[in-house]
Amino acid sequence: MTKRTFPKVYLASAAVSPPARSVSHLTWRQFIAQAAQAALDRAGLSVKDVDIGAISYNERTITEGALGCVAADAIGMIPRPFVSISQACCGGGLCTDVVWNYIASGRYKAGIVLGISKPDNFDFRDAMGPIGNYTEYDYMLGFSHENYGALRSESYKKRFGYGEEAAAAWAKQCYWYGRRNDSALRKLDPSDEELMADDTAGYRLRTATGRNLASCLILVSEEVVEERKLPRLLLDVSYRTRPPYLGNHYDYAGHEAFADADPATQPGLRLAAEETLARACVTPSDIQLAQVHDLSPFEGMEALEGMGIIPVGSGGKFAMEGGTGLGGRCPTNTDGGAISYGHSSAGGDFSSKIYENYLQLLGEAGERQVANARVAAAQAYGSHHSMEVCSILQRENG
Amino acid sequence: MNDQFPEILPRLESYNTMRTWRERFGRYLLQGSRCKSCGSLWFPRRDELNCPKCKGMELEPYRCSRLGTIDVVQVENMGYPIMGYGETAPRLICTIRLDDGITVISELVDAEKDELVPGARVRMVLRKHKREETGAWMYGYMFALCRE
Ligand SMILES: [Zn+2]
Repeated sequence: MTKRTFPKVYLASAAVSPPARSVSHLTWRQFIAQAAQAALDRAGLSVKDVDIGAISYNERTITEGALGCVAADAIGMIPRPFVSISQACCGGGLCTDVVWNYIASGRYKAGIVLGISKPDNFDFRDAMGPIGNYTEYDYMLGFSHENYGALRSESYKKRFGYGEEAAAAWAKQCYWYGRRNDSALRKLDPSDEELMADDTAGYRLRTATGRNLASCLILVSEEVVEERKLPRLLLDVSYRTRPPYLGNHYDYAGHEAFADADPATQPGLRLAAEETLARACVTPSDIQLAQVHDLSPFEGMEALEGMGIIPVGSGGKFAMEGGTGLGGRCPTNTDGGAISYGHSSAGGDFSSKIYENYLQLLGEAGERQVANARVAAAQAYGSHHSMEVCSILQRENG
Repeated sequence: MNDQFPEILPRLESYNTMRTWRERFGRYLLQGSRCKSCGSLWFPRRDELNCPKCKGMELEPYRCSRLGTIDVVQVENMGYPIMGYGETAPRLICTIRLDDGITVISELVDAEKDELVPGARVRMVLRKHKREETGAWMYGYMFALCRE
């Protein structure tokens, strides 16, 4: 490993809410405050120790908007600064990046990253529901961001010659992990036949299931780690953007990295991963496990490829040969992923992955524990690969 | 509003119809933009924005090619269609590489699933989409197979 020249920021603690299809009896403030308290308790910190906060939310499901001050109030942090970010499923990653920078700069020593996904806050009309990436030319013409995901999967299948067998193998492994995770929402053991079914039920079984989630990460400086004798878990994170309209995922002339791309490849993630890995002083071959954003299995495969963990186009083969399993080259989505653990959009699709990596690095993942886990990657996208976030969590000094 | 609930609803989220009207040229004519400096072609339109390639600010209206080739197809079987689009399910949705190099997403019409193989030639047609919030029908491009 090369010598680190970037500032160091540590993950002091993480927490997520327990699995629940509905948390309608709670306000989103109560829901998020529970996760915040759980993470603070775990680190032996009080909210008084926290200097800066950020909250990720989805404006499609919380009408208030502008949640920074409300979140600060909910957890008793007034008058400290509190950022709010709405960036779909990678919002938690962006909040983490913001807080990371505050701590890395030396301006603050401890920060809290909250995420909230609670789709029962209001009964949305269709226009506020499964919206698109470039509304006038997708959603208003009848395509949601889910169509983007499906077209990207079709693109991957076509370009690299895969069928639904590869998706079924990926999903099967996710269910295997999910059945061994108390926090997973959809604990199923579907047959190969069910997983391969060419109908809506089969499609749903091979793709994400939605869930409520409140998440919390606590980021601290090295000084706090030493003072409080916290585990030395170094966290690095970066993100990149890509054109929001899916047509512009083909041969985009606006940047050289995207010139020969199509929806099956992930140049934005590659750029984000290059930056994260360089900061973290690790190479793709050092990554022992990964949590990726698999709203569909093919998108999960693209994520492993985008981070350089496996060669571009090999993801389907990798899944079918057991590469994502506990004994494989890179155990992937060991929490069950979006397919079994559940997809929680802005609240947790990044933070819950960090939480799983946190458990794995501390050796607390039970039956799904990756042996001697030291370096773990997490990735999420927001708005179908128009925003890509990549992180590395590692045990410092092995 | 009906007789039972005559009160004005203060917050009924819907698109302002101006949002539909502003994009009429894009939707009816497949009109995007061409950069006057570097010649790059863009869709959706980028007038009043910049050219992502050369960062120039001078872009002119450009009518995209109405002929193209299917890249990938989704037979939409996700279980919950967008409001106004459920009646023709399952819909055929695809990405299309136009002959001038632009790529668009569109619904495919007048075709069967088995005919929509990658590489099939398609042409733009103008079709009825859905009702706007005003109740007026919204029209716009879709694509159909070239059969001749
Ligand atoms: Zn230009």
